[in-house]
Amino acid sequence: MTQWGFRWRILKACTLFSIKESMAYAANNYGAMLSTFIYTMTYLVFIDAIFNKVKTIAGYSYGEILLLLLLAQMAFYLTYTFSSASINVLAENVKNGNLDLWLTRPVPILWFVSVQKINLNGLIMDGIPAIIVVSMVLSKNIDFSVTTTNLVAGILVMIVGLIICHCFQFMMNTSCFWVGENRNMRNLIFEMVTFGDSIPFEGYSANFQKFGFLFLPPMITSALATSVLLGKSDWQVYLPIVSTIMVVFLWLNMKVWEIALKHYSSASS
Amino acid sequence: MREMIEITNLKKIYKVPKRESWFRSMFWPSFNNIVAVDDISFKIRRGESVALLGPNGAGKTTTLKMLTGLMMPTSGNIEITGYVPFERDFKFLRKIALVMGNKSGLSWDLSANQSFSLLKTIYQLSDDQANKSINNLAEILEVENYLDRPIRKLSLGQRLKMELIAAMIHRPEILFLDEPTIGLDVVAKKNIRDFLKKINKTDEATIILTSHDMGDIENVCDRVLVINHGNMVYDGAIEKLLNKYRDKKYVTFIFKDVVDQKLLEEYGKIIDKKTLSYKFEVPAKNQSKIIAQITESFEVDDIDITHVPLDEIMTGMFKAEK
Repeated sequence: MTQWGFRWRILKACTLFSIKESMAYAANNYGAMLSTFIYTMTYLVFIDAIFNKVKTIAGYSYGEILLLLLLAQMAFYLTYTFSSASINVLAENVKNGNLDLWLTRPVPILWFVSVQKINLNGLIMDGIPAIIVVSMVLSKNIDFSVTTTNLVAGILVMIVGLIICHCFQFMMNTSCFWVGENRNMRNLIFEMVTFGDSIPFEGYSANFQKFGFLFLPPMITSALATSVLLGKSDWQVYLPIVSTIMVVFLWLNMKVWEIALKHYSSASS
Repeated sequence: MREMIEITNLKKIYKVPKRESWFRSMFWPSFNNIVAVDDISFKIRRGESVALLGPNGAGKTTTLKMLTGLMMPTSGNIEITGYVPFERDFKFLRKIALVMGNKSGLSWDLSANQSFSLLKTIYQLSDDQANKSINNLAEILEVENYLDRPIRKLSLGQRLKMELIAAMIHRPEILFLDEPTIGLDVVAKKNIRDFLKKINKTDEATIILTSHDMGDIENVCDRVLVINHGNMVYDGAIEKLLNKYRDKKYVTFIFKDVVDQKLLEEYGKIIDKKTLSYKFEVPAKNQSKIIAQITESFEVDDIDITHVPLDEIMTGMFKAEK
C-alpha cells in the first residue's frame, strides 16, 4: 500500500470511528443542532434589521453579506470538524499521557493526530441545518452575479484558508507540550481562527488587506474567499499569495511538530 | 537465542529550570541537570521476560520510555531488533506494544470491538487476521462475552484485559508493560499474570515489565534489572536474588484456639500476628525443628512456609544503597 493510500485508510477509519463515538450520545447531537440553528436565525434577523436602515456595508449589498455569512458559517463548521476537534483531543492526550500509546503504533503520527477526530455526524447535525437556512434566505435575495472562474477561485481560496487556519491552530496548540494544560489557550486560538469571519474583506484598511491575513487567517477562509467569488478582489493576485502562505504554514507546522515531539516527555506514570 | 535488545551506556539527563526572577528566567534561563539514567548497559534475548525494578524516581520509567522511542536519550545507544526506537520506523513499531496500566487507548463510549477496528487499519491486518487474533486473546483472557459492551460499562479488570488485547492485536515480538496490574483485585491480577506467562511461552514474546507489585515480577519474569538513582545495581535471575536470602524463612501458624504470645516468643521472632495466627521469622536450617516443637505443644490448624518476599529484598537493597 502506498503512503498516501495508507493515510487515506487511516482518515476513513478515524472518521468512521468519530461518527460512531458521536452516535453514542444521540440526544446530545440534537442539543447542538438546536443551538446553532438559533444562533443563525438571530444573526439573520440582525442583518435584516441593519439592512432596513442602510443599503450597503463596506460596499456589500444585502445579498452579498448573506453570501459572506454563508461562507463564514461553512468555514466555521469545517474548521471545527476537520481541525479543532482533533486538536482538542491531541491536547488532552498530551496532558494525560495517552499520546504515548499512539506514538508506539505504526502510524504517520502528525497525520493521525490531525485527523483523529473528524466528526461528520456533528457537521451534518450542527452545520447543515444552519447552512440550509442561510442558503434559502440567500436564494431569495441574490443581487449579484458570479462567474465560473471566480467561483472556482473563491472555493480554492477558501480551501487554502482552511488549511492555513488548521496549521495556525495546530502550531499554537503545540504549547500543550510545554505547558501541559492549555484549554484556555485553545479557546483563544479557536476565537482567533473564527474572529471577524463575518467582516467583509473590503471593510479592512488597505494595508490590513495586504498583510492582515498573516495573523488573522480567517480573513482568507470567508472574507477573501467571498471577495474573490464576487470579483471584488483579483484572484490572480491573491490566490498565489495565499497558496504561498499555505506552503509556508504547512512547512512550519511540520517543523513545530518535530520540535514539540522532541520536547515531549509524556505525563509521568 | 539471539540478542533482541542491546543497550549501551544509556544516559538521560533532564534539564530542570532553576527558580529565578521572572525577568532572568525569561531571557537568561539557567538549568539544573538531573541525571535520571546514568550509563546503563544491558542485553535482552528473544523470549526473555525481564523486570525493571526500582523505587520511585529510580529511572525505570525513563528507561522504558527510551526503549519504546517515546524519549530520546541524552547519550548512549539503544538497538532493538536492529532499529533505533526514537526513529519510529514502522517496521520497529509493528514489532512492539506498550501497555500502561494507568492509561487507556480505547474509546470510553464504544465497545472494545469498535476500538479494535481502528487498530486493525493501523496495523494493516485483514479481517481474518484481526478476528483470529482478537478471539484467541479474548478466549485466553476470558472476556469473549464483553467484546461488544461499551468500555465504560466494564470493570477495571475487564478494561485492562481489553487494553491488553488492543496492544497484542498484531502479535508483537516485544511487549513493554508499565504497571499492568495497578488497581486490580487478586483474581484479575492472577489472570493477567497467567496471560503474560502464556504469551511469553507460546508466542515467544519478549516481555519487559515495570511494576511495584512484586507478585507481577515473581510470577511473570525470569530476570530482574534493579535500577536505583539511575544506576544498575543488580542484573540477574530472580532465583539468584531470592537465594541470597534463602537462609531465612517465614512460617505462619494458624492455631485452633487463642494462644498466649509469651509462650510463642521463645520459638523465634514474631513478625506479624492476628487473633489465631502468628508469623515467625526463622533460620531456614531450623524451620523443621521449630515446626515440630510448636505442633507438639499447641493445636495447629494450618502451617504456611514462605521465602522472604521480593519487595522486602528490594527494600533491603535500596536501604543498603542509601
